[in-house]
Amino acid sequence: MTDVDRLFREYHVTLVRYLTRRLGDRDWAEEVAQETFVRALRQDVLKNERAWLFTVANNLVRDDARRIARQRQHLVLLRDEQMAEAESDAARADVDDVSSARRAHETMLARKAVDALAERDRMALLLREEGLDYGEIAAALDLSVASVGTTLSRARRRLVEGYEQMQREETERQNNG
Amino acid sequence: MADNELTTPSHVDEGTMHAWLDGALSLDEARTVESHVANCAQCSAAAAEARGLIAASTRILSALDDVSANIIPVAKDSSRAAALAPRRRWNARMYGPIAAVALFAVGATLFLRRTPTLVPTSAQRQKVATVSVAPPVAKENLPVATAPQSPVAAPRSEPVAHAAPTPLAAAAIEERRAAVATTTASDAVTQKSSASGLGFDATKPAAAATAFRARLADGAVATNSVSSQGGDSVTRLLGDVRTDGVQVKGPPTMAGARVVSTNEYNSGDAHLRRTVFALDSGATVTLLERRTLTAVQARTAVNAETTAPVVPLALRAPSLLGVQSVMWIASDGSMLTLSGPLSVSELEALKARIVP
Repeated sequence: MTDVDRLFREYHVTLVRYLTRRLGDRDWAEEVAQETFVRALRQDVLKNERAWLFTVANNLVRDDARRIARQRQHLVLLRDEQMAEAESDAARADVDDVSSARRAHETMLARKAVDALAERDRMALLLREEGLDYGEIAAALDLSVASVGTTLSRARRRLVEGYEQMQREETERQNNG
Repeated sequence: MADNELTTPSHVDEGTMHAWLDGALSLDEARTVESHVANCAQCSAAAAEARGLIAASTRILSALDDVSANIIPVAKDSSRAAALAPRRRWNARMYGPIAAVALFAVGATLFLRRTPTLVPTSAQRQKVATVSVAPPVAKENLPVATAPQSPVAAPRSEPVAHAAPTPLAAAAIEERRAAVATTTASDAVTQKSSASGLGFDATKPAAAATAFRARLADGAVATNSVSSQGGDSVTRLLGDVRTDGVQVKGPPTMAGARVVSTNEYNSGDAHLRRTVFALDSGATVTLLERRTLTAVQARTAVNAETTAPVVPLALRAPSLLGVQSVMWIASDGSMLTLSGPLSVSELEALKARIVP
């Protein structure tokens, strides 16, 4: 049987972070991570364990997403409302709140920029951020190793340019209004 | 890199550039790129740009870790709650370090109490739980009001010296230290009396936090009990949440901590229960339990459209930074994960205090 305790210690934090960044929902991320380790428990042998864990997590998200997309969508909308509310609250409050509002705002911009990426680009980038090498990314996403560099460079450029574009648009809006 | 032409002295394409900077090229390929970049102004500029994109991507993505969980509003009409709420909003960021220090004290004490046998027998574990469960600890006390019972407990006044914080937790403290420096004494008093140690991040979903806090003050939210107040909106939001044919005992308890919320539902062939505990120190930890359903139970669950009584959801640590987890398999085969902004050994100590 696979040593799930060891797998958990080594990969749980990184898996939850990856899933949280991908889904924008920590509860969901933790559930998927836990389910991933349940699946690992059922395996006799794991080859390329890190790629295996991330692949299984991705599959679980895909299956989950089909089932509960609507509810999650609803929650996401509410979350955005909450963020906007927190921001406007903080806008008329003191310095501490302003700095936390800025953080919330940065999070929201980052979320939008990440969500605007193509699914495969986003996943490749998030996997890379968790330290997976090109071979592991290729295995997890069913890509050729040779195309991982191209995928990552495109993802990074689009993410950064999209983020900066949104910042510019905001500045313009503020200047106009 | 079969896709990328490296054999000719042409310019380095962007994909290869990133592969090079990511250390994903073979030694030969890397040498070729390196010597080309060194002698080509255009590619040298491209390499600099690629480095910038890589760094900027990492920075942007790290902002995504600043996400709280359970940020579902209790009720949109928070006018009453707003009236009840203290004028100055309680800020978990400022309170954090105090909480962290207190928790290290907890962790150290618990750890020391268990030192003779690092892995307690089930009998010992039972004893720990029983001892601490008995009297509900007064809010102002630290969770380990029982500390003096332990002959080896570290003095309360210098807990940090005895508990080595994990690097991540230390980083979290460091990050928040600046914020604390600006906290005035009167603020601290307000925070203490109004929040009584609940681990919200009031900075994000302000309405939910104030609403929930007001309800808490109101007595509307008791520990394990379910409140119907505001239930409509929650039920509406969580149409897929239900309790059903699964016989699960009541929510677990943790000695020295309060259950802030509990939430059950089925997902695939599993029954999940998420319980959030608030420690008196201000932190919250989450217990996620997963039980495999039998085929019959899973089918029943799909047909049972009863809506779950959902306790208003608590707000948790504002960032993934410093959040650790421990996992174990219970005797009935269910898998449990306990997570929180604590070190692994502190979580292990809390784990022993859970009464299922």
